[in-house]
Order: sequence, then structure tokens, then C-alpha cells
Amino acid sequence: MTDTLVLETEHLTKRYGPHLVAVADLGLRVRRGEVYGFLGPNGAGKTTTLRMLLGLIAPTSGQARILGAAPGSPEGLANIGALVEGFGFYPYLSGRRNLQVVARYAGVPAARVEAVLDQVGLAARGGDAYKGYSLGMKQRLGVAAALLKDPALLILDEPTNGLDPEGMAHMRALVRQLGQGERSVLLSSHLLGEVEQICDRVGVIQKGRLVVEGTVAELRGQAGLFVRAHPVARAREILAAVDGVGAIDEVAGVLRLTADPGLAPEVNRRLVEAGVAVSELRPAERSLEEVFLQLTHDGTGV
Amino acid sequence: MRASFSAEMMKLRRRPSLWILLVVWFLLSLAFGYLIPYALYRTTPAGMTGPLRDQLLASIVPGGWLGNVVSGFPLFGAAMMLIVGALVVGSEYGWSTMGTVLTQRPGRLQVLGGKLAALAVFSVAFELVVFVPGALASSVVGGALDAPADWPGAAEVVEVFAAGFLILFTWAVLGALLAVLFRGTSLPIGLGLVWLLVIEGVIAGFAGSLQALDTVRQGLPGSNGGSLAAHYTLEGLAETPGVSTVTGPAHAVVVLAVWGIGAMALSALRLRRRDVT
Repeated sequence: MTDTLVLETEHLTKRYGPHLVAVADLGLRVRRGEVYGFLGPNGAGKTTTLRMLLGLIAPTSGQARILGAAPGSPEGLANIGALVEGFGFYPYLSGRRNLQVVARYAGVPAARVEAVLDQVGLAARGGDAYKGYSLGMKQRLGVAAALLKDPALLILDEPTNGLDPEGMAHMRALVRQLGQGERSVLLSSHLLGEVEQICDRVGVIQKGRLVVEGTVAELRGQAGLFVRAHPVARAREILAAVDGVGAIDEVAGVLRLTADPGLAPEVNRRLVEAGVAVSELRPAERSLEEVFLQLTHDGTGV
Repeated sequence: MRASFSAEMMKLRRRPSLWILLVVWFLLSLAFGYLIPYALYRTTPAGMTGPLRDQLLASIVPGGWLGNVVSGFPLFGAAMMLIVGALVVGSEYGWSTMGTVLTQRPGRLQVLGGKLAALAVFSVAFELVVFVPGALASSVVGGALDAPADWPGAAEVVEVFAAGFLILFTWAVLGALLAVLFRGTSLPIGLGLVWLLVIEGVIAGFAGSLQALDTVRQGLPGSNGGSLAAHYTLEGLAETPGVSTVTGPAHAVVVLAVWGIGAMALSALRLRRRDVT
């Protein structure tokens, strides 16, 4: 991952009428080579944002640059692969023929069709009519179409929607693989586990506004340990002398240590040896789900 | 635009509904242009006078080939091409493929240009499937009835073919325009057919009594398509639905061209600015 930006928006806004603001003042930055998770609950404005980035929807105000070009311009689109809210295909054509049509529009050699069908595991079913495809196959064909241009930026909107657990695992592995190297991936999702496993950085959108952006670790907050011990004053005294333990805060009788969670056995040993009763010892790291729920439900920051 | 055109042709060639329209058009043209008139001629129904019988014969032999074929364009052909235009553009909304297409390399106007070019090719194909069998049928009937083989000259063939193209392509782009405006297929097809088959007929019905409506009629695509076809159709066979002389051929060509170019320009303007959701 480099600091070169492949996607940048400034004050990007989309209004529908005087009262509905779908996206408000959005500032999004995706770097070259990173997998960026674009998180938000349903209706938060993710798909509207992606459609603006692809030039399908005109913003009411604000600006966006993708790969140095304006959204929707042929120069930019030449290096962008996208799967937004599923992918429209022609029902009377086979999967392979659909990709050939898309390849012609994109101006890429027909030979790429077989390569991407193979990449998403559809080579054997490529000749089947699209209308007979399962939802999972349709999603995979959509990803295949997005890969046709071997794009520098891949925009995927809920790529695991409708997939069974096996399909989801396959898709996650595929996205992780696609995000390696110089390619950037903008992954929109409301599935936190997916984003947590795959993404380098995450932006959370709520009611059209970007409420937080950072690495998964930054969003979770500083690593630490929660310790419930008695007597708490004695425990605090002992823990202050343990190497690797930083700040110690006390909330409602529970100590929160700034420390590597891997230090837990050592913390436990020292307290027990000192005759302090330890009733609880757990990592203080919040899951991304906790962060997300906090952000999207009560609107507070991290 | 070449990429868009190439992709469009790939889709058109494999689209079953367009093949069905082509076959239906071919069968209708042959049935109403040759089989039924030939049967009428052979059976000489009661009430059919001598001169009318002669005109029937004249329309199904080589000398009447061009007029016979093109007389089916203003109504049946126009309706078919309106449907084709609406299907080619409107289905992209129904199948959500418009977003797919517009996120590839070509710009919106190139995509539209590719579609219109493909519609032009399809219009030519639509003509060929009736002109060529029409010529064969004329030849067979002429031979069977010992009629003179006075085929039209090449220049006349080209002229009538071009006039036919203008009628068909204008209605195809009108169908495309309606599809862009209504972002689908059903409403554009319904409205287009109501306009072509009902509204223009009602206006024509009242035009004789109301001068203003007669003026309006002279600017309508259906009336002018009918006038252009009437110019090449044998006199006395003007009962063919949709074929009637309302304006002269030059006027008709200009009006049809204005409708066609206007529809293309409006489609481009609308598609270029509109959000694709």
C-alpha cells in the first residue's frame, strides 16, 4: 500500500428534493494497493456514493476524482471494475456470452473472458443461460465482469449478498487475493466480519455522512486488558510494576490496562502470586461490530 | 462508438424476441402483400369490379413489387420498428444492464450511438426480409399469370428502399426515445402503439372537418410515412391501412427526417443528463 490516492472525494453531496440528503459532505480517500471497507447500515448512502463515483448519478455538489479522472469519464472507467448492487446481465445470453458483450463495451480482448470465468470458478458453467444461474453464480459472474479490465481500482458493493456460507468464504478469499499488490479495492458492505477480515482501512457512513475513518485497529481503539480483581488498590499497585503495562484506568471497580492482550498470562500470574483474587481477565479490544453499533446507533465517535 | 456498436450487434443477433418480430413481419408481409391478394384475384369475389381486379394483379407482379412491399411500412412496419426501438433501449433499464454498460469504457453518447447504429442495421434487415421475398413472390406470380416482367430500375429500387428505411428507422428511434424517457419497455410500446394506431387515426378522421387538425396532421410521422409510401403505391390501392396521400414525398421526407433527428437528439440529451439508478 502506498500513500498515492486512487480515489478522493471532497464535500460530495447528493440531495433528492429539499428534504432528502442521501450523501452529505463526504470526504473519502482510498490509497493505491489498499482494501478499503466502506461500512454502513442499509440506506446509509453507500450505493448512492458508489454510483456517484462511477458517474451513474450526478452529485448535487462536491467533487470526486478517480484514478485522476472525473467520475464516469472513459479515461477513469478504463481502469475501474465495478459491481454495484448486483450486476445487470442479459437473461437470454449465457454467462460467457454476457461477459463477451461486456468485454466488447470495455474494449478488452475476448480472451480475458475465459481468464475471469476461471478466476471466479464459473468456467464449467459459463455456457449455461444466465437466467438459470443461482444468486451466488450471478454474483460471481458480476465479479468476473468487474475483473475483465484487470482494473487498478475494483469497486464491489455487497459482493457476498445472497451467497451461502461457502460462497461467502470463497468470495472473501477472492477479494483478499484481488486486493494484493498494486490494485485497490473499495468494498462496500454491512457485514462487519467480512470487512474486519479483509480490509486495511475502513470508513463508516451513517445517514449519508462519513462518521469515522481509519484502520481496523484504530477503530477498535488501543489494545488493552480488563482486569477485575480484589482488592483493587493492591492489584493496581502490582500491575503498575509489570513491564509492558502502560496506563491503568479504573471504571466501576474494573481496571483497564493499556497493554498487549498477549500479556494476560503474566498479569494473571503476578496478581495471583501476590495473593490478589482475579475474577475476570479479558482483552479490552472492542470488536468492529461494537464500534459500528456504537457509531451507527448513538452517533458518537470512537 | 465502434465498441458499443459491436457489443450491440452481438446482443441483437442473439435476441429471440427480435427474431420473432422479424419472422412475424415476413409472414405478415407475404400473407397480406401476396397470398391474400392472389387468392382474391383468383377467386374474383362478388362485388369486385374489373379495374380493381386489374389493380390487384398489378400489385403482385414485378411492376408492382416496390409499391406492394413499401405499402406495409407506414402501419405494420412502423409498429414493429417502434417495438424494436423500445426493446433495444428500454430492456437495458428493465434488466438493470444500463448501469453495467455505462460503467464500461464508452461514454453515454457512444453507447446511445451504438444502439442507434444497430437499429439502423436492423431497419435494413427488416427491409430485406420483405423486399427480397417480395421480389421472389412477384416473380413467381408474374410467371404463373404470364404478366410482363417489367421490373423497376435500380435507381427506383434504391429510392424506394431508402424511403422505406426512413419510415422504419424514424419509428425505431421514436421507440428508443420513449424508452429513454420512460426507462422501460411496456409503457413506451403501449404509448407508441396508441399514438400510431389510434391517435393519428382519430386526427385523420377529424382533419377533414377541422382545418387546424389537417395542418397538424401534415406534421405527424404516421401521416407522412403513409404519404411517402403512397407515392410509390399503385393508385387505386390506397385502401392499404396507413397509406394515404396527405403531403407530397419531399415534404414527407423532411418531416420524417425532422422527427428522426429530433428523437435522436432528445434521447441523447436525456440520457446524458439523467441519473441511472
